Amino acid sequence: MDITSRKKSGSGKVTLILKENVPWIMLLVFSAFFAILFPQFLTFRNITNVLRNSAMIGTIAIGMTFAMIAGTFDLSVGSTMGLAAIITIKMQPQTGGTALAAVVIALIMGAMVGLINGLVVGRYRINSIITTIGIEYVILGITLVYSKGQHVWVEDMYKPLEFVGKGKLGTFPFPIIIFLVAAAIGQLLLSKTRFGCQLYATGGNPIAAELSGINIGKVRVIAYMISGFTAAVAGIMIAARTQNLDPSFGFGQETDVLTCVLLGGVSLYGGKGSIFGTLAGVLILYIVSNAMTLSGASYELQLICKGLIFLITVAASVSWQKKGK
Amino acid sequence: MKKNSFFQFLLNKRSLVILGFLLVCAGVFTREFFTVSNLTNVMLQIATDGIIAVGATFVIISGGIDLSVGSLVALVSVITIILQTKFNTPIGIIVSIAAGISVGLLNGLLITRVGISPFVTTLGMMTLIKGIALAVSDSHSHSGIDPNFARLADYPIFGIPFAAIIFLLFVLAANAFLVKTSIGRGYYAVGGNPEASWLAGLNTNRYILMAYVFCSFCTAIGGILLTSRINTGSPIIAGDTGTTVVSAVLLGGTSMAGGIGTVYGTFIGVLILGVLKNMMNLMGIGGYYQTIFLGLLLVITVLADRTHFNQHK
Repeated sequence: MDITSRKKSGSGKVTLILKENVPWIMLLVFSAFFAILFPQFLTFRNITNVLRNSAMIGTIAIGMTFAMIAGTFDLSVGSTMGLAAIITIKMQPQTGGTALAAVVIALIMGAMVGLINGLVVGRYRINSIITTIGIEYVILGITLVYSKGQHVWVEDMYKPLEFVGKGKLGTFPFPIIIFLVAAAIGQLLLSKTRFGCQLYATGGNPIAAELSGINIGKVRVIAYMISGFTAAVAGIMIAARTQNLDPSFGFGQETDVLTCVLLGGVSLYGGKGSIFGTLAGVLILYIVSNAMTLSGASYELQLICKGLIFLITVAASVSWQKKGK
Repeated sequence: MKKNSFFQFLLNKRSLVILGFLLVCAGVFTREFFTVSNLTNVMLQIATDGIIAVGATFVIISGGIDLSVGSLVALVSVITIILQTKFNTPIGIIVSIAAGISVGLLNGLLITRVGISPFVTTLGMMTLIKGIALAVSDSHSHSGIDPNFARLADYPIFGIPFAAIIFLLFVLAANAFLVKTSIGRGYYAVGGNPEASWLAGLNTNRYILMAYVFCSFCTAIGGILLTSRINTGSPIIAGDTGTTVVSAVLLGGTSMAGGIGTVYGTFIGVLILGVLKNMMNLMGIGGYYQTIFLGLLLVITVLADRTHFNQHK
């Protein structure tokens, strides 16, 4: 009797912990599955490869988590990343001065795009989808005009800047470190500061938040600025890594970012989610595409699977939230 | 007082005012705009997106959105041409329409039965359909082999291209359906207040489902006509069709909030975009600036829609 009753209360606790960490459990199940299927999956080299590939989209996913928790979508991050990357390369960062200027200008541009998004969307969440799609096009156009539609490249990039994309700290590629540091800062901002609290309140119930004295317009502007800023960081990382890019690079990649964020358990309706969850979401998407590459699947098949994963995740999370109500 | 009501009149007819203004500009700034060949060209250009916009009007009035139309056009174009090469043209067209209707059913079922938001559903479907289009076509463009099919879209009937005639028929029929039939009126109820409509005995889920099916059907028709015009099945065409279509519908006065809008409004919206694009081409404004402009226009129409919406509340 004693044992069963203890087991009962214990299982209650366990289910609660399980429920809160669905993305991480999914990640473990997927990893175990792929480890059995592909012997080369669990090698150190493959794992660092997955992590390095996920670092760019992952960094943006951290920023987008802020926008989504505030109850708004940011679909302009794809082009923002592209413009930041093109700016970084087009400035020809061969010396310390130009490299610094390129990075600073790209970062300011990212934050400015966020500011514009935030001011336009303001407090009306109904418009955020279409508005940010519109901004996505505006920025794509600006990138095309700026690069004259031509391929851009740079030779002999300033070494410290090159390090951001290509460098290794010990055996760890540097982009992974940027990604993890961004995640840590993001989680601290969300769970330890007043702004984090206001963000959850704004997304969860904007009217109640406003009545309790939170300036929800301001909170959303800041959330968008964080999102735009991280997109610019990702763009700089890509530019430093590839050093030559297509002018329409980045356009449309917000779908991948959104998939990561939703896989990580961030609610579509705002007010719920964490960086910890998003981290798992990013890793799930990238180990799945890594496994598909290992199995020799074509790009077309990968795209179909991405779409399916996206729809199934969202369907699962929606029915989960319905049950919770 | 009188002045005030005149302004109100202008505000209510703002899409017509914008169109009139654009036509005057086109006449003043370009020589070629009001020539028969250019006007025929404009009609042909707007017809395919226009047909899709008619379907999208239903979806947006019912309170949803369909972002998967662009990918569906690509899929339809690939299916039409590949089946035309393997079998014959009618089979290609029939299978394309069937594919369109199934996509609409899937969209509608995911939204109404599973309860995923329209935006997210159709965004996921966009990636999925794009993948299927690429897989079916092996990531290549295929040329059509049927010369009759290649002439279909611009075949002139009384001097008007066939595609434009179909567009006009869709506008007239859809408008009559929305305005004159009780099912049509039901769409305004469902979009305006789904809960009240449900309580009043309307099967809201069926209305919403049918809106997506109709939208995808229109997309299939538009896609087939576009394929006929370019006589190519390509998995990467129609990348910004979704954005153009939503812009046209919103420009025509349909509200993103649902429950407000007309097919005639959408018709005017499609004309505005078509005239604008043609004018920019004639004036030598490049494609890159047009992309910026398309995005800005979308943001501005949404903002205008918001103020309009708030006035009603």
